[in-house]
Amino acid sequence: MKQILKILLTVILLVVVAILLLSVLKKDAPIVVVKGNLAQKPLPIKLNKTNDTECAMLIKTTRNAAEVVAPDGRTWFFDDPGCMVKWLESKPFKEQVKIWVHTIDTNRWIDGKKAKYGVKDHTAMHYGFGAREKENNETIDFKQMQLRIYRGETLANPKFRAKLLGK
Amino acid sequence: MNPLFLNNQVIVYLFSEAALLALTILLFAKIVKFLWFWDFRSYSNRQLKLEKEAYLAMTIATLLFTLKSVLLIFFVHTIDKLSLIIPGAMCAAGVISANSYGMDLLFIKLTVIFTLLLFLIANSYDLQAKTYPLFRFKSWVLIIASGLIFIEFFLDISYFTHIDTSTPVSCCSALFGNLEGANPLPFGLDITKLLLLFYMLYLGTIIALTLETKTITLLTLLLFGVIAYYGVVYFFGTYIYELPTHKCPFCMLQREYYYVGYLLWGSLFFGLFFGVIWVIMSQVGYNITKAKWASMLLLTLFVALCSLYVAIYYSKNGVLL
Amino acid sequence: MVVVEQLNRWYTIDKKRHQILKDISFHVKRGDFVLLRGVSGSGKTTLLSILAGLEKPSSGKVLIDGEPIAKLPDIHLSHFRAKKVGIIFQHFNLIDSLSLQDNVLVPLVALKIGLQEAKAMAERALKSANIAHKSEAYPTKLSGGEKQRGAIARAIVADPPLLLCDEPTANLDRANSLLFIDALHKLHQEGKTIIVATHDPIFDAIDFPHTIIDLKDGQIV
Repeated sequence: MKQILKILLTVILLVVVAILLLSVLKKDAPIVVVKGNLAQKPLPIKLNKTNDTECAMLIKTTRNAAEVVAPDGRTWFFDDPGCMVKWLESKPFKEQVKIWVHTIDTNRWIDGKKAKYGVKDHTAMHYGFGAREKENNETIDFKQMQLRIYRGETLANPKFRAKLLGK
Repeated sequence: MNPLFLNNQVIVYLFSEAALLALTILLFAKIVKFLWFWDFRSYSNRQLKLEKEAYLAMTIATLLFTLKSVLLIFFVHTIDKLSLIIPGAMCAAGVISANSYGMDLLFIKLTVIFTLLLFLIANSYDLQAKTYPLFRFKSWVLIIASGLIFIEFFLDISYFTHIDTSTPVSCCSALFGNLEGANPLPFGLDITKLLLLFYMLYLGTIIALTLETKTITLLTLLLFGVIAYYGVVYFFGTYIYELPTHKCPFCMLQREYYYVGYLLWGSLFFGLFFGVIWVIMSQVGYNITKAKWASMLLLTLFVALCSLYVAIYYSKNGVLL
Repeated sequence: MVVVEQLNRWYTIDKKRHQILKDISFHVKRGDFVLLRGVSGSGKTTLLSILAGLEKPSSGKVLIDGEPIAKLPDIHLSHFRAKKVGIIFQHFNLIDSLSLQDNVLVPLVALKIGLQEAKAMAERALKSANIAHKSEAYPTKLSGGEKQRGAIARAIVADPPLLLCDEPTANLDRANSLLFIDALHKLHQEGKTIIVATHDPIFDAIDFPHTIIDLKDGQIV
């Protein structure tokens, strides 16, 4: 009896290890879009497993991250508010979306259309617009930020950067 | 002032925790003294006094275990009640995740109860011998327990002071729901493999306990704990709620589900506790068959309860979710 | 049988230390009959309580049958007392609401003995203490001498090797005191180790071999 149990236990352990190995080694495709977010709430981002739809980079931190939720519940993720604005520019539903940005100063998700944006921040794709909850004399609002990106007046533009930073 | 501090249950909870903290500080001081001065062979006044004080320490530890267990249930219940006040929360899930301290707090609470239970069992075996052979071992267990209780109190305060009642929190479906695309399971598992592991590890644990192999028992127990948690949240829970999209470890604690969550999680945690206690105690030379049997029994109850929900759903509806 | 070394007992009241027993050391061999003599307040009762495991010493070693009784965990202590030590008190300490037989059964509770066997043991003890005819009576209906014999029956019911008596004749008249000493003598002859704390001069006249320990102000003189 004891022998049988021992063999059984060994088999079970081998199967468990095999299942775990198979699962771990299998690469997950990165998340691009999540469906069904009808409440239009900010979703927790699975870091390093979620793709920025615009620049196709993996999102490594929630700092400066952004999310766009379409009225049908589809949700997209971004590592830089700049990416989000660029991506949204061509979308037919761009006026109906809910935008969430993660703030630098209060460290939480707020409505991107009401947020204030700095112009000289370090962001993942170097656009420089970090979201803030509180206004200061250097911040601009969402509409202005959008315009600047459309015009290319961002830190990613060397000429503009030299002008802005005085170098 | 955070309006949460005006909630009756929160006030009762925090004051009870503070009172227990005071007891823990007393206990900690005594134990440090024991570890420093204890010399059972001596007949000096100091040693005889320490032996008397050891009884005080044991009584405090027993009281701590009882009250901490009651307070854990009370805490979960409070959190559940707070979901009515905090915008966005529909059950304890949202409240506990209102800040980053919540889940840590819950985890440390379970660890505290585990260490105190380990102490109680070690203590009863220690007293059955005449020379306190486990005195140093059980004292160290209490040192660890008091350390954990100190951290727990810090987290208690941090947790309740950092709940912002003006910002909506997420509800359980946003926290645990995988909506679509994202895989919330650990090790990249899918549901089929998760269930396979669940039953395999349960069987493995029972066999390992029967064969009394310490290392393998510990390994299977811990792994089963992790897998069982995900198994309940992402599979068995949906049968309790009878809704394929409802994935939450907390809603089942509510009246709508006959408070079955307390039984389910209780049998899982205490099953794991007794198993680990069996391993630790056999490591120090005590083979406690009662703990072993309790572990097997509780884990079997847990697995049976989980499976029963699926079976009942299937027999009623003829389909799976 | 009894080893006492460097035994001290003191109480601290208002930060002042009251020494009851000071550096007591003595040995009692199995089968000895010991008289512990001293005036009231010399520490006899405290010493006896410590030997019985009812009280703990402040420091020092007390071994009964090789067991350090002051250091035993509580669950062992009650078992130890029930099995190894019989105690006869000055005021008999019988429970008024229990019949004599039930009083005698009380020490057996800690030993977890079945009722049938326990009753047989109680009957034997009552017989050898010459009080079996009153086993159904309640202590309030008994005379001083009868109560004392009941107390003896209770002390010996578990057949302990050591008997401790604290002023056993203080509440007895002369005739009953002599009867009591006879009973003790009989038990001594059966091989029991007996320690009697007393200041009753009637014990000076006993004519069988015995050891005397004189206590004064908590010290052996």
